[in-house]
Amino acid sequence: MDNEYKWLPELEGTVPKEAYGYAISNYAIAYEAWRRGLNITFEKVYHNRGMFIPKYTIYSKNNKVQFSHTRPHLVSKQAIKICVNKQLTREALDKENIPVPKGMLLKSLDETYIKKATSGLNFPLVVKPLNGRGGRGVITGIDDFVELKENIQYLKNELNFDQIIVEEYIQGEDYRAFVIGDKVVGAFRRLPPHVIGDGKNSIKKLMKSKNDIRVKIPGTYNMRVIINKEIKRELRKQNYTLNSVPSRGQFVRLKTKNNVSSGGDPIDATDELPEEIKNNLVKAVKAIPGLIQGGVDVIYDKKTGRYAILEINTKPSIRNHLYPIKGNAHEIPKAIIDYYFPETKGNYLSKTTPKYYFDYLFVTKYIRNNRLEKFTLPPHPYEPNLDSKLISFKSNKELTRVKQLIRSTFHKLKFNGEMNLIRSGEYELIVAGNYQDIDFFIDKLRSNRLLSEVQFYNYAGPVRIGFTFNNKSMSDPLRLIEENENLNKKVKQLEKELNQLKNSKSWKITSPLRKLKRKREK
Amino acid sequence: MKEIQGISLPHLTNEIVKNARKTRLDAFAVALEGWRRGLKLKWYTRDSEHFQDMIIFGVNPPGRLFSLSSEKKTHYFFRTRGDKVTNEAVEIGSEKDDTKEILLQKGVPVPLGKGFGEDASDEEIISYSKELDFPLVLKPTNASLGNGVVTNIRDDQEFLKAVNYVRHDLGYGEVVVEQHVQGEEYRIYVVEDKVIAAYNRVPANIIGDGVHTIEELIGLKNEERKKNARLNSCLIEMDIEILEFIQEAGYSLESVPKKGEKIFLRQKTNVSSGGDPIDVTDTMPEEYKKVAIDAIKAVPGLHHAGVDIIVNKNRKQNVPAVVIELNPTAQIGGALFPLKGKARDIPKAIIDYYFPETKDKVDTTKSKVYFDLINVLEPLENRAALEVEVSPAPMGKLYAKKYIVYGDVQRQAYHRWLKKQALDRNLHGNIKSTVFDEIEIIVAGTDKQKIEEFKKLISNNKRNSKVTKIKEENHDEPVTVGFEITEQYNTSSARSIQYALRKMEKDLKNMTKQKNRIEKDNWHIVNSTSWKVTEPVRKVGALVKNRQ
Repeated sequence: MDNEYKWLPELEGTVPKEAYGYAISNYAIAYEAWRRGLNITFEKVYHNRGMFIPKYTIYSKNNKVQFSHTRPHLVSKQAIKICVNKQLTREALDKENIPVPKGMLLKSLDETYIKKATSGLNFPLVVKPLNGRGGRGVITGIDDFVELKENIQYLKNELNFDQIIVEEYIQGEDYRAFVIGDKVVGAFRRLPPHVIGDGKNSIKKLMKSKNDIRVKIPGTYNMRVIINKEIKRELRKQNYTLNSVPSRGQFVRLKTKNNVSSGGDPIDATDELPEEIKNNLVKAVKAIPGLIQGGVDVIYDKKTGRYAILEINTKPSIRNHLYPIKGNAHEIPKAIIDYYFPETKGNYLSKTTPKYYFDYLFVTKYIRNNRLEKFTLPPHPYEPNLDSKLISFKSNKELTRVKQLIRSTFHKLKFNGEMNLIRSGEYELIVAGNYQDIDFFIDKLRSNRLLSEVQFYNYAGPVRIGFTFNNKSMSDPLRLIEENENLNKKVKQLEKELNQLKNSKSWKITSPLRKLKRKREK
Repeated sequence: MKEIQGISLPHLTNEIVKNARKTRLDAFAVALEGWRRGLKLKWYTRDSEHFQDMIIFGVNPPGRLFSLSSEKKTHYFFRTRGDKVTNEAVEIGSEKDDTKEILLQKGVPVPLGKGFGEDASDEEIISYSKELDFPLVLKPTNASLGNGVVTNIRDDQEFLKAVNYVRHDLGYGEVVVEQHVQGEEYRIYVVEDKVIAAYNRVPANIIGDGVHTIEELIGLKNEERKKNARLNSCLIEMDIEILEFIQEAGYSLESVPKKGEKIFLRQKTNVSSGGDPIDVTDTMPEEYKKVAIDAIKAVPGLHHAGVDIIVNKNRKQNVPAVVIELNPTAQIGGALFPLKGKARDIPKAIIDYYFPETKDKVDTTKSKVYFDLINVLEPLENRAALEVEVSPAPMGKLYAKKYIVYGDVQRQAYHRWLKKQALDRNLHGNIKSTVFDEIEIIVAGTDKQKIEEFKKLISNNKRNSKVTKIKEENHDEPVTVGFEITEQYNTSSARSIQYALRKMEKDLKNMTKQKNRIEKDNWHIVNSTSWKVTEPVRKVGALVKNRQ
C-alpha cells in the first residue's frame, strides 16, 4: 500500500500503545520536551466529575509549565471561560471584525421570543448548546421555523440543554487549525464519516476495511466507525442499505457529524487555507485575552472564498495534526515547546543518541488506579559514546534466573532497553548504553556457561527507557481478552436486534406465514 | 498456642509488611508512619539528585530512599536515618575507632583499651595489660580483615605469647590492647534523649519440653519464627556450626532436653543466624539507658540511632555498661517484631522528631490503610521513573466493606465499570474473581455515603452483568490505597496462565459459534419474504413513531 500520508519520523516506533488515541497529545508534547533534555513529571488530578486525569509538568532549572492535555497553565481562566461559552467567543471575535456566523444565545425558549429573536437570521440555521463538547447536540440544516422549534425542543427535552444558540448555517468545509503565537502551525479538514465505493464490496464491507485502517493509525486506533441508527438513517436518506454496493469512486456519507472521534477523516489542509484566513485565525486567538494558543474551528468554502470562525478550543487534541489520513503531519509539539522553552529550540539530545522513548503504561497502571500521585521520568540519556545493539542468545536455564542475570547487569551498567523471550529458551535483548559497556556485556554473556549462541547486531530502532521484559512466546492474553470482549459485544448487539425483530408487530403478523413456510420445507 | 500473627504493632502487622523485606522493612515502616499522618511520600532511585550529598550504601533495589513532606518542609530519609543526622555523624558512627575515640572524649563508657606505637616496649604493653581484667584482645592498629587479631586472651602467659606473635612474628609494631567484652548485649534505639526501644539479642536457642528432640525443637522454634515478619526470613538453619556447638555442650540432635532446659545453639547473636530479639524496654535498668542516651549526645549531629551496649562485668571499670557500636542507619525489625515482650513504635518516634507538628494529631495506631510497596516501587526498579509519589493516604476514619457478588458477573467490561465507579467516588479497594459466577469487591473510603452509593450501583450495569445476589460483610483487613482489578490469572504461575488461555480460547470458540448463529438468524429474518412483505407496514410504523 503506498501511503497517502507522511507522519513525523521522530514518532515512528516511539509512541507506546498505551498512549494511542487521546493520550497521544500528552505523549507527543512530553516526548518533544524530553528529547530536549527537559524534565517531565506526570501527576494525577482529581477531576470534579470523578475520574483521575493525568496532568504533566515540563520543567528546566528556571522554567516550568504545567499542561492539562494540550493547554498550558499560562492560558488565563478568563480565556477559558470565553472559549467554553460560544456566545462570548462570537462577541469577542465580532468586535475584532473577524468573520463569525450571525446568531445569538436564546434568552428564553418561549416560542414568540424565539420567533422575534431569530427574525433577522437567514435559513438554513444551526442550533447548538452553549457549552457543548465534541459536537454533541449540534444540529445543522434547519430549513424552517417549525424545524427550528422542534430541534430546540429536542435539545432541551432530550439532551437537557437549556442554554441554546441559534446561528446561520455557513456553507463550506470544516477545518481545524492549531494556532500558537503568531502562527498557524497546522490545519486539517474533516471529512464526514464516509466510504468510497469500489463497485465490488457492500457498504458494510467497505466500512470494515476502513476500520481496519483506522485501528492501525495511532490517532484513531480506538475510534472505529460503529454501525448505529444514525448511520442507517443517513444511508436510508441516500437510498442505500448496509448491503448496497456503491459504484466505483462513489462517495457515500455515513453521518452528518464530522468529528474524527465518531468516524470522520482528518485530511491535512495546512496549505489549503489562504493567508488571509490564516491571519484571521491568529487574530482570533489574540482577540481572546490571555489565550496564547488554541484549536480554531473554521468553515471555509473554497469556491466562494467565504469563511467564518465557529469556536476556539483551549485544549484541542493534536492527534489529527500528527496522524492525518491524507497529507503531511505538522510539528505541533515542536511549536509548543519552542514557544514555552525557546532556549531549547533545536537542542535535541536525541541527535547523537539511540532513539530513546519512554513508557506510558504508568498512567493507566499507577495514576488512573490512584496508586501514585506523581511520576517523574528519568531524564533523556545523554553522554558521549552511546550505542545500541540487538543481542540474541539461547539458554535452557529457568526464566527467572536468566531474567535476574540480565536485569541486574542492566542496572549495574545503566543500560536501557528490553528483554524478550521469543520462544522457550530463546531470548532477544535490545540494549542501549556506553559502547564499551556493551562490548563488555557481550563478552560477559559469551563467557557465561548458562547461555549459548550469543550473537549481536547493530540496532537503530527505538529503545524504551528502563528495563522491560516481554514474553512473546505465548499468545498474547490481552489480545485474547480483547477479542473475547469484542465478540461478546457483537453477540449482545445481535441478540438485541434479533429481539427487536422478533417483537416487532410485522414479525408477529407474519408468524402464520412462517409456520406455513417451515412446514413446506419439511 | 497457634496464632498466625506474632508480636507486632497493631498497625504494622505481618500482612502490611509482607512485601518489605530486610532493610526495606525499616524504610517502609518509617515511610508508612509519615504517609499515614498525611505527609507526602516520595520514593527515589539512587540516581536522584536529592541524595547526592547524603551518605548512602546498598540502596539497590529501590525502596530505601524516600522523602516525606509537609506543606512547609521536606525531609529525606535513607532507611531509618533522616537528613537531620549529619554526614559527619554517620562517618563517626560507622568507624568503630572514631566512635570509640569520641565517646571516650565525652566520657561515655567504652571497652577499656590503649594503643601503643612502634617504639613502645613489650614491657610497657604487658604492664598496661595488668590494669585490665582478662580476657583481653591484642590487635594491630591497622588490622584489616582480622589479620593478626588475637582474641580471648585469658591469662598473663597467653598475653605474652600474643605480644610475641603480633609484634615480632607478624611484625605489627603498632598495637592495641583492649578488654575482650563479653556479656549480655543489648540494642537500644534512641531518639534525642529518649530510649524508644531496647532489646536483647539472645543467640539461637531452644527450650526443652522433656518430649521432643533438639532437632524437633528447632523445627518448632522455626514455626514460631515464621509467624514473625522480621524473623520469617531468618529461620534457624541446621549447620555444622550448630552441630559442633551442641556437641561441645554434650548434646546431639537426638538428645531430648529436660523440660525448661535452655540450650544455646550458637554463640552468634545475630537475628539473621537464628538469634531471638527479646524486648526489654520496660525492664532495662535506667543506668543502661543513660549510657545509650549519652552516646547519642556525644556525637554531634547524630540525634537518633541505634546503640549496641554490653553490660559491664569488669570490676576495674566502674560503669554499668559499655558502648560497643553506634548504628546511625539502624535496622529496627527486631523492635517492631520481637519474639517476646512488646513491639516498640520506633517509626512514630522518628516521625515525631522530624515532624513534631504532626505529633498526636493523627492516631495511626488504628490505621488499616497502607500502600502496595511492590507496585509503587516497580517503576523505580525498572528504572522507568526517577521518582514516584504515592497517592495520599485517606485521612480520617476508614469504612470498608466486602461485597460478594453472585450471578453473571465475570465480564471485564463490568469489572472495569465497577472500578471506574469506585475511583470516581475516591474509594479504595479491589475486585477479585473467585469462581466463575462470583466476584469479591472490597471498597474502602472515609465517606460512608459513597460506599452506600457504590453498593447500590453494583447491580446497575445491566448491559454487562446480571447480578443475582450481593452478600455484604464488614472488612477488617488492611486496605491498600488505589483501586485495582486483581489479575484473575496469577501471572507468576505459568500453569494458571495456560489454564486461563485455554479457557479463553474455548470461550472464544463458543462465542464465535453463537455469533454466527445469531447473524444467520438475523439474516434470515431480514431477507425472509414475510419481512419484505411487511416493509410498507414498518414504514408506516416508523412514520407514526416519528410523529410521537
